[in-house]
Amino acid sequence: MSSSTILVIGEHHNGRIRPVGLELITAARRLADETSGEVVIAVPGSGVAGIASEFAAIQGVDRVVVADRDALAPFLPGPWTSAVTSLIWLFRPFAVLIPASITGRDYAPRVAARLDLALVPDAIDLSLDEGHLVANRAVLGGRVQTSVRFTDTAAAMVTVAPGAFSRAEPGVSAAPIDAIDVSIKADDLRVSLVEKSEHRAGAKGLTSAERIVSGGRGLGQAENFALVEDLAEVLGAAVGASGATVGAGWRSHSDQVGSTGHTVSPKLYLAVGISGAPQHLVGMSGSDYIVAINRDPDAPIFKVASFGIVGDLFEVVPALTRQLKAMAE
Amino acid sequence: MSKLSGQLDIAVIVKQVPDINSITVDPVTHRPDLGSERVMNTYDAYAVGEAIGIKERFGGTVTVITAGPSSAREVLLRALATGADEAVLIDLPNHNDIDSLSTARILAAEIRKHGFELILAGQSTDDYEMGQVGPQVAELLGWPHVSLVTHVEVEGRTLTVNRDAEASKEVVETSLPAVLMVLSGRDRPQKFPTLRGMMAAKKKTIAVVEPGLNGQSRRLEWSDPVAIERDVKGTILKDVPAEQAAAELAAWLREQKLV
Repeated sequence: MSSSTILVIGEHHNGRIRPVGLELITAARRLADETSGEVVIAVPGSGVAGIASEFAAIQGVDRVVVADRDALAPFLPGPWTSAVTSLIWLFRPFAVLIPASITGRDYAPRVAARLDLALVPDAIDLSLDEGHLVANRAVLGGRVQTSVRFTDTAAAMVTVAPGAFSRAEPGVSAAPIDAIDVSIKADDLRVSLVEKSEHRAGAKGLTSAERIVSGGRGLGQAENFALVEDLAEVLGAAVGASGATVGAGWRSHSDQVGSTGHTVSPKLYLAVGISGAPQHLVGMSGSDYIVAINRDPDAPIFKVASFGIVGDLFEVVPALTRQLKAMAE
Repeated sequence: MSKLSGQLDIAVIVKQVPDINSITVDPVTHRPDLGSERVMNTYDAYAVGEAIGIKERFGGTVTVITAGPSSAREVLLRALATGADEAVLIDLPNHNDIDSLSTARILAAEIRKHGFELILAGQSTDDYEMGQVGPQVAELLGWPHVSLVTHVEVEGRTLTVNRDAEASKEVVETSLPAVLMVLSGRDRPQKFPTLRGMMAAKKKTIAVVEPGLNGQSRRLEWSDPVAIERDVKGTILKDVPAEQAAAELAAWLREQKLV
């Protein structure tokens, strides 16, 4: 109940902890050690006892609270706004850490408006300055970075970009788990899910993939993504896409890497026909190794590439796929 | 701006932003130069397109609203030229010094003065990518919001909305009034103004209004942006035949233990 508590919203997807949740625990523990506060993980959802136990087993977690309500699944921003608002009321935390996931970005602004709190989205680093939270974030398409300091004493809300912190590991003992009763406002139930089609199993793994092959406008048309898929298959990689291809309707948004899609940090990011618009670079520049194949030698993607080929992707990519296949056999 | 009964009055929230692709970074000071080019935010242009599409299919009016400096008239003109009916400029020269929630409050206060029942906004902005104004306007108005919208159908008071969620495509249902954040111009390609449209737009009036309340940014202090350094000295192959380039890349991938 103290204002030194760091409240982490423990998101989950398809019955599993989001990896970014483990990263948030690392960030929260660091802050809590400085504020001499507790790290409290709140798990909103329906039937989430298992998720809560998983979070409780992670090192650095002091307490887990479960807000189990039918209305919290499937995810809709309204009921989650109600739940997270209740949790902040209850804990009066120093800071609230929310994953900068597609879902986190959906309810966090609403919660901030409801509670009249300041919110900084997509933080890539967090620190304390004389008792005030400071969040670093990339702006202007990821070209530049700015730090934002919370100046008042109300709870500081941030969404934290995936890949910004290392993942916390399981600890030796489990943190206590309590059930918390959250109220869901009737007004927050005005949107209902009518239909949901799971598409492309690979897309789910984008943020946790070790290797990603992404395609861009240089592919010319949707059908040519087959080249990217074939290469991804030999590499055991997930398939990503640039914003331009998603905007054009070639790929679904769930594949999008970049400022309005996923932020990824795989070991290998192989960009095919992607020029490297700032909006794309912000989503993948944390990758260990970036490889670019593009026709334009001045494409910005080459400035961040560890290995680049200036050439015709329609010749290079099939050749690479064939050679890697041969190498594997 | 009187409201005819039974007619769907749509407002689209737009923002004028620097052209993100023409931003340069000074190599010495590492400060960004935003250049002089100002454009309509990418997702907002999709939102305008979707709003005009809704109007064409289901009837109604489209009003574009921005809170910004007087130069933002240009993006309003562009929206008028592609089929929007009316435009409102909330005169806010220091719009980037105001926090998102204050901007949302100023927009919500203006929206309340009209009879709008459907608000469209872009999913995010090209410049600061806060992505907050849409859901916050919805919250302040007490309306539901739907994000990542790719298509909208209207039947009576019911909205059927397609959205591109995380690993799935979703169809959600809600009722008017509502706020929708538009992701994609896929179904209704972004419309570019024609010369005739621009001529017609110049005959339409842009209402310039004072913000209904004061903006503030007392709760957040932003440092000056500086360039993110990334010192990669990569191997770049140029003018190498495809087979050979592929072979070198394959070998490099193996060396780095990436395959």
